Amino acid sequence: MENNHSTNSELPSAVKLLKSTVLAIVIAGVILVTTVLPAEYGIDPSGIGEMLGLKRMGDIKTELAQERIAAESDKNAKVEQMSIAQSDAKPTNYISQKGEIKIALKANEGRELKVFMKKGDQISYEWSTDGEAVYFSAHTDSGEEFTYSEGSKNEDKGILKAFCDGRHGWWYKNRTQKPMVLTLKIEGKYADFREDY
Amino acid sequence: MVDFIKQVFKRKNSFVFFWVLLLFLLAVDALAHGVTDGDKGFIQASSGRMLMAFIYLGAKHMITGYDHLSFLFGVIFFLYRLKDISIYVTLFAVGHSITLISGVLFEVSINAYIIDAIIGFSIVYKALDNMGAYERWFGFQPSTKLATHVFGLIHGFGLATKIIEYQVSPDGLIPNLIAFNVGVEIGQILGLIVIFILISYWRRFGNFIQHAYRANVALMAGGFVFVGYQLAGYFIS
Repeated sequence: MENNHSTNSELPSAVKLLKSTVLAIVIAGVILVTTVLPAEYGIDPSGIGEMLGLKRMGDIKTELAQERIAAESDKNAKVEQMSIAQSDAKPTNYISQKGEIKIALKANEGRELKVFMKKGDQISYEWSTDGEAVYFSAHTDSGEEFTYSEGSKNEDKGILKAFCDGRHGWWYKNRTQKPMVLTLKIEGKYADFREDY
Repeated sequence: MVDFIKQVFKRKNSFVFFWVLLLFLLAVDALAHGVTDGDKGFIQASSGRMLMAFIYLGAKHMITGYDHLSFLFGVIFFLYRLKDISIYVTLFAVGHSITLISGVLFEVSINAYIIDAIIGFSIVYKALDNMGAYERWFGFQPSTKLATHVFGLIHGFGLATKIIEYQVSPDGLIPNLIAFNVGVEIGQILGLIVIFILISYWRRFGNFIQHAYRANVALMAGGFVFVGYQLAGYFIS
């Protein structure tokens, strides 16, 4: 036997073993409740995860997982919609112009601003919130998918060069617990700058 | 109970060891689920026979999968003869090879959280086994070889469940699966070499026997953390 307990008397007592098992469960429970569950799932009954700053990580992980699932079903629905409405949805009035849209984002709300552009055309853009950082993803989903930039900031500006013909836009998600106002200004050759419903 | 905790924490060394082990278990968490999104993307984007790629993925899964390594740590804890180690590791490897390959071929899909919770339980089981709990509690020692083999079968289902999730192309599936399995064995041997060297040093220079009991209590706590983590995931999803 490889257990090194050659005689019965060398074995730890039944009570000691039981105490050790309970101790292991208690230690595991403490680690789970204070760190693992807050950090992985945002579950934080003790409030310690919040203190350690781990709950936020769990909240975001859970949110991202939900968003991914939502985005996947959304994409399937959009593909169907687009194939029906594509021909009449494409605007033709591409001209050099300026535009500005202001949106209010409630706590945890996500909204998307879209613009139509032709491949290779450029617009300059500038956006900012009235306070905290917002999660954003600038991308196109017109046939080809491409992400221009992504992150969490309270302002950003730059040049967007259309990767392909079609819709390009900014998805904004307010991950804070407070409402915020966001303003996006663009200038260049584009058509039909509006919020995507 | 309080006295007992005091007793456990009395020695500074064992206290440090205990937490280093627990922190290690937690710190490598990001790596726990082996094949990452990037690998998943690669698998889904490819088809046909890709032996080296799958050997690599199998080895990576094993080396970065602390659940499998923790169990093996428990298995070889009291083994110091290479002959014994190879017998136990073979029993484990044959077990998980059977369920990995048949599980994928017959698409036996068990919920990943449940199977991972059982894998966590296997760590708890082995730690208690090392502490002599079954002999003391039930008056007999359950076959350690049989347990290693049965838990090998369960770990293999865990591997199969993951492979199924990746939606491997049917084109070249069998050679790729065998390659993945070969990779798992390579990763396992590499991981075991490291564990074996560390335990051998410990046995030689540390107070191995004095710390053995506490080390297994720590291992058991790690197993319980893993069980709780997976069960919570199951109930949330």
